[in-house]
Amino acid sequence: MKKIDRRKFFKGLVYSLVSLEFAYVFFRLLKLDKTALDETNYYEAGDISFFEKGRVYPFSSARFFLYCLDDGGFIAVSSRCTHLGCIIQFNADHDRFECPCHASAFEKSGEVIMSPATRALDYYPIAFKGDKVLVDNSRPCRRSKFDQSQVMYV
Amino acid sequence: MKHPSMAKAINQFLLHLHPKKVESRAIVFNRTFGFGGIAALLFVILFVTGMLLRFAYVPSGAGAYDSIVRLQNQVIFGQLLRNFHYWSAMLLVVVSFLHLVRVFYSQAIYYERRKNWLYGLLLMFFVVSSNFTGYLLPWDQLSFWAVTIMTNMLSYIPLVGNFLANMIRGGEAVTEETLLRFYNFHTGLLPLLMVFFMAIHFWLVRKAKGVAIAPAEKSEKVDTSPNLVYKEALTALVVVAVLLLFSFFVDAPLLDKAKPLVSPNPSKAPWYFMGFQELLMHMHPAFASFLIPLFVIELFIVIPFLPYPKVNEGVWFFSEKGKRITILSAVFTIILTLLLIFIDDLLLDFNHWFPGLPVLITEGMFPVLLYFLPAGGFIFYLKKKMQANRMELVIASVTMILVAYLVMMFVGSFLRGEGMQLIF
Ligand code: HEM
Ligand code: FES
Repeated sequence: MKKIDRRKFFKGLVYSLVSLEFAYVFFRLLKLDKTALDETNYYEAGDISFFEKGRVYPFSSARFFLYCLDDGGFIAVSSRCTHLGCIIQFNADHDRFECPCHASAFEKSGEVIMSPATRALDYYPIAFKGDKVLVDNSRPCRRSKFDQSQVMYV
Repeated sequence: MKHPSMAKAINQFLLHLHPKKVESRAIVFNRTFGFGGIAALLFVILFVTGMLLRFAYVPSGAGAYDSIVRLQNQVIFGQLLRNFHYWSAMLLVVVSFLHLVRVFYSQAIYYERRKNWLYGLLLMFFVVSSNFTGYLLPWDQLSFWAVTIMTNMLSYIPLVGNFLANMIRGGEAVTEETLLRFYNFHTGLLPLLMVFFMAIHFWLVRKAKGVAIAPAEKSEKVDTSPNLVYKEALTALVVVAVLLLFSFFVDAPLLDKAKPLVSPNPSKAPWYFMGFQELLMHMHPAFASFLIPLFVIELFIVIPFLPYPKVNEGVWFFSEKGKRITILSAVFTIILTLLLIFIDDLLLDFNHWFPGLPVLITEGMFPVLLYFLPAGGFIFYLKKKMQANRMELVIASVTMILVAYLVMMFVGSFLRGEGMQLIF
């Protein structure tokens, strides 16, 4: 081991601090903090009465599908595949979501049917206002599995 | 010579890179295959063509694709310029890889060359990063989805993955912000860093007294100029000529403008990352995108620092036995990897066979064991039956890693079609 005297120690300390400082400044530059701009930004999906039970409605430019369950509950699933981020499509023949990229398949609730994806599709918070269904498509919620608490009722 | 002063200037410039006299055995072409020099030449070509491309390119979501189309259709030699840059970049990845393979197998990474191996690994990282950041710039369907796939591969790294991926993209998805960021890395920071580290790299080659050659009783020194300089000039001319000719006839790909709402089927990462994508199809991401790459990188870093009973600097494959072991390991790995890829695709479904177990075991441990048990058995066989020493075992392991990656890259790129299903 080389001996470290006081002078060396302080020199090293100053160098590390200065480098850290620069690293941090650069890092903040890359990590533009957008949380300040983020306000809940509800997307109006349509009249509650319009949606039929058991069907899936695509909102492709807003990047979600609205699924109206058989019991009348709603869940908004993200169209972004949890495998590597491709955009899934609804396959009406198979009655499930399918990813074009590497063939993952998902239940209408977002649950994985076929790998390579290992995690259920993200879902978005839903609110009901008057007779409208509103979807907060700025805040995807990660989940590993589907469970009943993610379904919203009027 | 017609212009003696010019010749002198060129020679003197080159003598800043080379010593005045070199070992005659060091400049035989198949000592280095000129890979390092070709990489340096490609870097210069990329620098010049890149500077020119910057005049035509608009780094914004709305303008990028159209500026490329305009360059190709309306600028004289615009298409050629783009092709030349594109194919040089692809070749640089290939040549850097071959260079790495060359220095490893010719035992040129030990003792005073250790440090340069590390700088070399860093340069390799920069080469791949440069290529990857440049890949996004045309902003077409190919580049948009390739970068989406690749950055999402990063997000599987435990704990920091998501953070890292978002940091690189500047958000949850690939957007215009990502484009600007990649543009700045590609045309600013990365080239600058590469010039800096290449300078160190070259300096360390000279400090180690040139490329590694086996010790011999009689060594013969010859003048660098013209002996080495002519060879370098000839190699450079051939490379430039072949690249230009290729660029005349083969256009760099350009698909439709990026459509963030429509993924093409199938979507693939850039070809040099296809090995990873293939790996991800067979095992849990914690292994495929984190533990295994970490293990490989670590191994590559420590190779020159391990204690060896013997190093044969400059001797290809260490020994005749080393050569046989290399070939044997390559053949074994090709068979094992292909076999397991097909078996896994057609037969195995651990996740459904053991529904009670966590995926980390069914999709992680099981496939890993399935691969590493036979591979470990093979290494054991080399050690016990062939009496391989530590150096030969390291050569075998590195061969297996490199070949496995190449096989996966090949399968992912050529044998997978729609929905990433195997096509025969
Ligand atoms: C931009 C990329 C690179 C450039 C321009 C470059 C350039 C060079 C050049 C000109 C040489 C002289 C010998 C030769 O031509 O083979 C050299 C040697 C060397 N390079 Fe690289 N290189 C690059 C990347 C790498 C990589 C990726 C590695 C490996 C991790 C590496 C490791 C080495 C080592 C260990 C030597 C010494 C070889 C010997 O002494 O025989 N370099 N490099
Ligand atoms: S991105 Fe959907 S399966 Fe790979």
